Amino acid sequence: MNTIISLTGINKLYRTKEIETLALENVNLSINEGEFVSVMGPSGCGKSTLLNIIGLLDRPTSGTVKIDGVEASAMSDRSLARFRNNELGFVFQNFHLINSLNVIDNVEIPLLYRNTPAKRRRELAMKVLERVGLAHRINHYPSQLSGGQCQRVAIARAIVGNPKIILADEPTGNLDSKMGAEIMEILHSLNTDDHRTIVMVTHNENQAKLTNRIIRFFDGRQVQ
Amino acid sequence: MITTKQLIRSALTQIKTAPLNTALYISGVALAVTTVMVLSIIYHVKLSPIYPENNRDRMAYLQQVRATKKDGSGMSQYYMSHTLVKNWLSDLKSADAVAVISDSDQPATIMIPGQEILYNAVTKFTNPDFFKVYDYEFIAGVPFSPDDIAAGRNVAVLNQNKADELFGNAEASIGREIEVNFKSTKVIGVVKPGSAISANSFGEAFLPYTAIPGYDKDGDVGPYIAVFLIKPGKTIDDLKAEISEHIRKSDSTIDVTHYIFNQPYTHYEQTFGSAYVDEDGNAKDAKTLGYYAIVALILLLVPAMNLSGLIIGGINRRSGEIAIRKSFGASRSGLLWQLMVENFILTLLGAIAGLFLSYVAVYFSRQWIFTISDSWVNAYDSVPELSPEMLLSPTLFAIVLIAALILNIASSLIPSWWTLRHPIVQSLNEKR
Ligand SMILES: Nc1ncnc2c1ncn2[C@@H]1O[C@H](COP(=O)(O)OP(=O)(O)OP(=O)(O)O)[C@@H](O)[C@H]1O
Ligand SMILES: [Mg+2]
Repeated sequence: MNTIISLTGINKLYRTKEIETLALENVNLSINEGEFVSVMGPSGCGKSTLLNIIGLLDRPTSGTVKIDGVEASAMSDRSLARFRNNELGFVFQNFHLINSLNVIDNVEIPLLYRNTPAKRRRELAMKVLERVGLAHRINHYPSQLSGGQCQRVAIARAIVGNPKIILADEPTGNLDSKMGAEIMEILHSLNTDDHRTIVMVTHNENQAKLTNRIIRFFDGRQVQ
Repeated sequence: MITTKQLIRSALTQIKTAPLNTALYISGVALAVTTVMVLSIIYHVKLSPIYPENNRDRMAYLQQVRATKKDGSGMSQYYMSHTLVKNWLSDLKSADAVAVISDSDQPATIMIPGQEILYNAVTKFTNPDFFKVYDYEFIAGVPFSPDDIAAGRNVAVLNQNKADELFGNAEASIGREIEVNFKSTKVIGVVKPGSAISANSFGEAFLPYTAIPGYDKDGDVGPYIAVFLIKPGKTIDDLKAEISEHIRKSDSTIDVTHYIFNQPYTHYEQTFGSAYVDEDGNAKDAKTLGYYAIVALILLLVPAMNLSGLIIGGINRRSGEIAIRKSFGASRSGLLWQLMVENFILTLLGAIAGLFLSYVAVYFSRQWIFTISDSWVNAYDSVPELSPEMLLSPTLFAIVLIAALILNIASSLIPSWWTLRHPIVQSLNEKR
């Protein structure tokens, strides 16, 4: 099995005026290609921080991050951007869709930054929207969609560029259990059918149990 | 890279989501651009080739002359006398044509024999070369000839407005008798009108200066100015050298020394006048245009500073969107480009509005605005006409574009760059 994500000696220290928070403390972690991993732990234990560091949205205070064999600390803003574009797809708890763009334009965003021609963009976006069951909603704006639909748009956006890794931070946290189940179904299909590596933060034991591995955190430390 | 359609849509979205801010921004840009464009229009009209002064790049002017008695008994200063015109300006090898104009171009009275009505006309008493130096387009008839001037014939060329006023149309005017300053004169030509803004060439009636009684009664100085059309391939310096040689020869036989302040001046020097040439007529260093550019820049930078406040507000509202785009592969430089171009669309809207505002401003102030920097204000009471070439010129459009670009960069580059350095995660969390 190929290691696709490897963290060594990761520390993340947040300094504010009053206090210092060690959000991550000496985290060593490796995730294989094709794995579906759940990250669990109490609120504030550093799960989101971990995911942001894996996703190259944030830099650790110390330690090395290697994604798909490339070390992140040495990369310039431009190559980080290209790397996020090609290798990573994010699904956020709050969806983070752009409200001023309609569904299909939101989904096309990752393709914009790799100069895919307009027609091809539309095709690819349509394909993933069909997959998440939203082909009939492409001209809607996020404010006109339900939470579950928004999250499906967000998943479509995360996978439209064919990234190897999908990072999902509580993707069902804002959804009721029925919609949550729909989202989980899509994620499992992406893992088993498309062999994508998925790292998902969740508070839901039942969801976690269905994944390949559970990583538990407590107070910034990996406990399992 | 984001598509043009999306950029435009995104700019429009900004107008929708923050109409007050965008309206303020666009009006701010419009006002800033208006001031710059009013200045630009004034100097465009003064400097660019504008009918009938199409040859401004080849034109040169000789006006002030100082005459000093060689025995020190006196000094006088005005324009050239008729003798000086003959001695200095004949057979110039570096000029294609030399327009000689008498300064007596106060409104002349015109009457049609048998009618009681008294008309006024801004009148230029000049020579045939005037119509070579200035590209007056003849709608009917012909200019006066060297023969007319030699014989001192009372013939007149009218501009079309005056011809229409007197006789209804251009064709009907040709061959008609009029009385100019109570002297019987025959109309031989009608030209398409110039604008009173270009005072050097403007006239409603043009007559040979030899039609003025006593036109050659001479002193050491006189009433004549000259406008030269420099021969292609020759320079202003060739012309200067030639004229000063003529002056040296001419002065050697008389008891007066003439001094012409390093004239002839180019059109540029003539326009900028005392801002450009010192008392002795030496061009101050060619920084004048530079000064105007700096003034224009300040006129733009001061509002740009104020406008950047609005920009910061707008970008902060969009920090979530920016963070999302970054998460999915937008680089800082790519986003910077997007923000700048989007903002440029708004700036351009404001700049175009500013251009139209400046047209309105220039139109309503046209009677004084073009003489505001002139050392003497001409007494013409005819309202200066604005022609399309004065307002709709590629030069002016280019200046509007440049002004918009400067405003855009000055108001939004720093705020945009600063916002783009904001950490992604923090922006995402703030959006929550
Ligand atoms: N920008 C920041 N500045 C200061 N402290 C921060 C910052 N971001 C996170 N923290 C702190 O780091 C710790 C870990 O935060 P993190 O968001 O990773 O928790 P989490 O495990 O995702 O919690 P939750 O389950 O509630 O989402 C918390 O104590 C939090 O207060
Ligand atoms: Mg979290």
